[in-house]
Amino acid sequence: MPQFFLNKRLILLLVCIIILVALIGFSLQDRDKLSRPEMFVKDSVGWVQSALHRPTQYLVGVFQNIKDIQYTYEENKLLKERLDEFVQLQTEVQRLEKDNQSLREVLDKTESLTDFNKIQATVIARNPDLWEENITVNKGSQHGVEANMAVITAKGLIGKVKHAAPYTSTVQLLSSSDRSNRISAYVQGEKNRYYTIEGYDKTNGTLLLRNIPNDAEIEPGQQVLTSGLGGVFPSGLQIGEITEVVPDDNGLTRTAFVKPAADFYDIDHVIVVERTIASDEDLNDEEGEDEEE
Amino acid sequence: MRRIVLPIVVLLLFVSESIFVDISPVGHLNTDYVFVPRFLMIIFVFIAVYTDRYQGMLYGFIYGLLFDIVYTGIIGVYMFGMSFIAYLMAKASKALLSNIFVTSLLGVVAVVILEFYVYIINFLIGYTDMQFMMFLQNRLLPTVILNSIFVLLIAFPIKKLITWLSVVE
Repeated sequence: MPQFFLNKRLILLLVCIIILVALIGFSLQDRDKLSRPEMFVKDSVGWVQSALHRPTQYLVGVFQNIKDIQYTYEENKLLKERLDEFVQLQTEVQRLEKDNQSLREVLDKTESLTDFNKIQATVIARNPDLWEENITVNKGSQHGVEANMAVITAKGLIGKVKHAAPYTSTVQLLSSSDRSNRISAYVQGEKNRYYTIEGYDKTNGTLLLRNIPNDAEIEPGQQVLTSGLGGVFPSGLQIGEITEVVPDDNGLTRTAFVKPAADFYDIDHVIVVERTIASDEDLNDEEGEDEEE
Repeated sequence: MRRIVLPIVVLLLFVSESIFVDISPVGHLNTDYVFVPRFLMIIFVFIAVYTDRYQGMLYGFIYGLLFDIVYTGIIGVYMFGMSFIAYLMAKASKALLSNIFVTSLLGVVAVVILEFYVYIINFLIGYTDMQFMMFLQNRLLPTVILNSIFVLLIAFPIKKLITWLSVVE
């Protein structure tokens, strides 16, 4: 027994394990901000990453373009057909927007949950260990990015900002298996219904919209959008389309599978969304506590 | 001047892991198989075997810490894991023959140990609920295949590079 304790290496190993557990505990606590050294390291490595990542992305893009050219003719035909529809739709949208604006002025309500500012960013890295789906983008708190902001591509919502360093920030994708990844969403229909997106099904590649009452009229094909009720996200960002509705294990509620509109793999350029309407601090705190569970 | 060659090569590999994951076509195929590049772990084993084990551990420590901060956000996991595994592999290579095939094999073994270790930690802290059999099939096997290919490609050049650098010093 004394031999055991005298073994220097073993003691060193034990000390290391204790430090390891302490460090993991430190990193797992709910931190709003990164520590200064972490920010410094992230930004410095981010600089190297963006220097190397952009040329490769460009190269990949060239190959992609060559592939795209093959289908140009067919796509062109199809798009021309859609163009006429588009002009009609655009005039309609303009008219509605004007209508909306004037009605809002009448109501004296100029702020809306749907308003947001855009911060354009480029992806410079992706977490290679693939346990947690994180990407790093090249805009940080110096450009106005803050934790918990929504991140979208042209197609739809992809995730939210996890941490922001001065010049880079980490984005947690919706496909991450982290259970705290919840988003308040609504299903577009005659009567909008509000639920939360909780979790991601890796085998189908779909998001899970949980706790739908049995009497709710939810059908495949309906669109799911962010509600803006979570406190940080703006309202009306596209999330995806319902593909299937199945009963839960307990039989009291149902779960809908939502096929995300955005592609979680092919991400080059993203938009960080800053809601213009001030977020309610109380709401924020409440959301934070919910996420803890 | 030559002292900084190896750290820069390792830094390039560090970034290349993330670029590999970003541009590899595997994600588009919609498969359940996960190919995780563990290029760093392999090169640390080579460094630990062909120079001395403390240098391998030092590289594992520094780049593991970078990996933790930049990619995963959980400090300590790779920092501890990579340096410890580099140490183990250097010890193992002392006990076994130290030719390039054995070292390559040790590199792959290191990848397996690292995958198990990270899986266990992620399971314990609740970041994943993957079943063990799923882990073996969908994650460990493809990862081992990918990294074996990497070892085959890089074993000779990296051995040349490391021995050349240590001779010069």
